[in-house]
Amino acid sequence: MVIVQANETFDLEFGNNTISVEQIQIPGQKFFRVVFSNQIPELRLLRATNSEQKKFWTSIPEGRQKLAEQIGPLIEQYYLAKKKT
Amino acid sequence: MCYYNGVKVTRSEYIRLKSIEKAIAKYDFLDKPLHIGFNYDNMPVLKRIPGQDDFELTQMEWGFLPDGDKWPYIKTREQATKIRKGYVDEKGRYVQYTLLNAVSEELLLKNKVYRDAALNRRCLALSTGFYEWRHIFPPNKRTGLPVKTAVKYPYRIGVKDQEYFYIAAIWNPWTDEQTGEHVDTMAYVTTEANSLMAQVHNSKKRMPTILNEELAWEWMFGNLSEERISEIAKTQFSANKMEAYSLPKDFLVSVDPTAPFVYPETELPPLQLVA
Repeated sequence: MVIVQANETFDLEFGNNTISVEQIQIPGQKFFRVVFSNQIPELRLLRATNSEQKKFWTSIPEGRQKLAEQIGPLIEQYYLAKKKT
Repeated sequence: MCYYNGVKVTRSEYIRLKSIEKAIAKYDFLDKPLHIGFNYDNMPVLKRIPGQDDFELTQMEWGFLPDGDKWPYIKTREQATKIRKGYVDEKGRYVQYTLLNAVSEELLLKNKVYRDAALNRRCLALSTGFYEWRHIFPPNKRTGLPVKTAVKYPYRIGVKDQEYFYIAAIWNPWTDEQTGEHVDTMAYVTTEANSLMAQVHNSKKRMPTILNEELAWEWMFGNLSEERISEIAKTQFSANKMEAYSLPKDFLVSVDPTAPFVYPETELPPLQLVA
């Protein structure tokens, strides 16, 4: 055995830029790592549940909620489109 | 109630998110889509917390380094690099020890470097899938006989319907005697290939020792006899629970190294899948 561990990676359009998204699995949890083509620091985000049991996208660690709410739905769209094909 | 990123969440959700935060912060291996053995990368590993039926997710250097006073006597990082890369000794012999994989059938032999770790330091490596090369010997266009040098086709192998799975592993803490650098190092345990892996890894007919949840628990927490350690180490995961597909030959440099690639059947015969 030579290589182990690979995560799914895909590119998305975000505004005028391309972002690279990697799905990462750790025990019991899946999250996404987003790398921007410009100078924006990478973002890690996942789906969480609010107190009303509704799902929402949030950044890990805290502090970049707005960006998580913008990019999260793009990731969802990607998976929906993938499911249809 | 608590707030996470300004959103009202329950206490249990808050604790979950904070736990994930801590987990993510610890791992630089998450930045790498592929881990290549000969790079001696850090790997995600579940390691028992001493004295408890609990574990931590940690990272260890892939490539077992034994204590400095045990063969092959690796006392410094410089020596480790030399012995892993290979060198010609004073008698003109080529010497190389990668210590990436521990053969289950030899794990507990008295003179084996892995014995103490197999008895006392068993752990579980996490994997989402691993890669092997299938060797094909097409007929020579002139003679019609199989070519002598195989054409190698990469495959990705995983466990059906599981995003990650456990591989039996053993570990050893190692300290550089000159610099004091301390690392936990590990090797995967390997076993005889099942019917699927025998077709894919057809040059060596070996596979990692994949464990189901019960065996994984026993491997890490069990107070095991030598016989039982050996038995679990040789576990041959069922071929019908595994999946394998071919990849492009340049997958190592592709954007998505997991994307399948189908070759013409005349070039790469399909695998004989188990029902």
